[in-house]
Amino acid sequence: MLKLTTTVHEEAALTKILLAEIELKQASSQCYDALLDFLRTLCNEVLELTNSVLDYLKTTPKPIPEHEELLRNWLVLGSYVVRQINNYCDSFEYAEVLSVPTAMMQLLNRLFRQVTKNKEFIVRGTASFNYTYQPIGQSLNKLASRFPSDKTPKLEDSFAIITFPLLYGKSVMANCNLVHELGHLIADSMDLNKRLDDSLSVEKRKKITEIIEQTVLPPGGQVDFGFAQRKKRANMILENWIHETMADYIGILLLGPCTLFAFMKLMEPLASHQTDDDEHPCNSSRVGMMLEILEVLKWDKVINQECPEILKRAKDLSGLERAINQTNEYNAAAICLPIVKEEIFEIVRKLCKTFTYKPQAFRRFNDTVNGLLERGIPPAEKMGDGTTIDKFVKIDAVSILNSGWFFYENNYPSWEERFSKFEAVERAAFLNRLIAKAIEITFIEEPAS
Amino acid sequence: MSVLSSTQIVDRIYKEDPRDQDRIFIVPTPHRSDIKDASVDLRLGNYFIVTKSAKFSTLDAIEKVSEKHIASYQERVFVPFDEILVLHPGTFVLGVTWQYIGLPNSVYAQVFSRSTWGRTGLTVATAISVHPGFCGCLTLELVNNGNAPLALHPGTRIAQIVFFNVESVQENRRVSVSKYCGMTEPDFSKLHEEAEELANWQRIGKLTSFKNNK
Repeated sequence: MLKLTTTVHEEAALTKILLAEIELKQASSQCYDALLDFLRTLCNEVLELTNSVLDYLKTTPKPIPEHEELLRNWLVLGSYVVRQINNYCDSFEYAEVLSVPTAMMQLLNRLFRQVTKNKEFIVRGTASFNYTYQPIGQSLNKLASRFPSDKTPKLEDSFAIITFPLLYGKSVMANCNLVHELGHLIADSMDLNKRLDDSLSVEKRKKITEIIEQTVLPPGGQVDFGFAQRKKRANMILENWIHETMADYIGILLLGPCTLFAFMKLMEPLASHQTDDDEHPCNSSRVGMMLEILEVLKWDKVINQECPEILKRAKDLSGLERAINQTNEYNAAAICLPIVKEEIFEIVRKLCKTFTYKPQAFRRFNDTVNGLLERGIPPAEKMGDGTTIDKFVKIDAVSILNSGWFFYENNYPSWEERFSKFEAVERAAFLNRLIAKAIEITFIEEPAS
Repeated sequence: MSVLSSTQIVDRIYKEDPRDQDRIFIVPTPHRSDIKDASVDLRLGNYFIVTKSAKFSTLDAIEKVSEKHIASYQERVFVPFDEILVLHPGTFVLGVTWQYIGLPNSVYAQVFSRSTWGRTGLTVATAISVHPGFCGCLTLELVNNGNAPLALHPGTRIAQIVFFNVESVQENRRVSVSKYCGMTEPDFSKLHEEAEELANWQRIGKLTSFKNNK
């Protein structure tokens, strides 16, 4: 008994040291500190528990069997919690400020707070070539609830970790993809997924799950799925696809067409765009759905005017045309998602009505941004002094991002010529630095004084 | 070459057209109170590079030190606006200006310490030249020559930039592409890039001295 207690005590004490070491890294956000405080308080709870048991064992070296059983259960729970804390410590890796795209973090935080008045998420880099969303709030609260004391910490249920590929750590443009993950977080925070589930009619749900069963799931003869399990899995796939589409839509509403451009940059080099999986609809369908919403928001004309090439590329990638024309093989998502797009769009549009980024804002600033980027200057402001100039005109961060993307796609060759001494990667890094600096400066409320 | 007065600086900074070839860019645009008689105050940024002196023996371009080696000799640090970086006596760190500077081809600039900081023993810049066409945040070489540790607050007015008119302008060159161009954080020294140039020069030098001896 004493040995078990000292082992758990040692584990908790070492974890406390580990958390102290993590604290020495620079915090990237308040959420970083919130999660650290949560884990530290939880760790202290375990330490207090083991201290109490050690004190008890000093006075009672041989406890009665009932007590011993109870204490053993507590210690096993303590050890389990310590191990879980260690697992979550991984979340701090590459989450410190020098490893995250700071400008994009600030922008995402601002967008998130605008929509939900909440600020509970961490962004961190991973070696995986992917962007992910990990909602951990509920599971951590569940873990903490095992200790029924006053000190038990609590996080927001929607607390989440969003990851990006370290490869794109410094690329503010590529990291526009983070807004899709933010879309998941917003949907979870606002309970949108449940609202959507409620608004979906039984007929539509039935129709879609039947299509998924026929096309995505393996035939019953080859793999032994029971009838109920097949239905359950088809429903789960439908929900996942809808959630992904909803996150894409929220991304488009908040950031405009650069959400699509960043997604295309990530997926264009892939060999296949036509494969659905359980978690995501195929890339071509996602591009198609994003194109549709861009059309509704009247972005298609702007894109066509600014860079027809990228619109053509997006249409080529989209699976919708193939599905509509039935000229080629098409995938299940391309048939299923259009059936529910109205419902998804309706819910998302209500949410983001006041925060939707519109073509008018882009048109207002695009020329200025282009003029500045051409000269290698971060396009943060047009004018800056209240005493000599009429007013301080600030270009919004989202316009900078969108204009930057068009500049990259459209005017890059001329820029390339001017900066020919730099290698291509250096040129792209230069452009990203300009845009990142510009976004940082947009957070200044008035001219520096 | 003449120094620009405050009126000329204001005129150059507040030009409305971003494409104007004579416009001096300071982003974010400074307030009038930051523009002095013949200079503009610059603020300290959040990023620093501190030296890990125990890690490296010498920095010798002839030895062809790699970029990786130089990076291991220095460490990047981020200090938020509400925190401080303490610069101890005799220590050296690289800082960066918060403002991003973009010079036209007709303007050359120099960066100096502000006397307020100079009196505390702080040297802000030793490589003070900013060439025409340069764009980027300026790297500051911060050294505490005083006896007391100094608390550096990001955002504080730390340096001043003085602008000079360049008489004869190269019209077709619009942006300088020096190796430190376009930086928004302090950059590691690119001493390793000098190695090849130095080797070439030495080869020529040896040939010359051989001829002389002969």
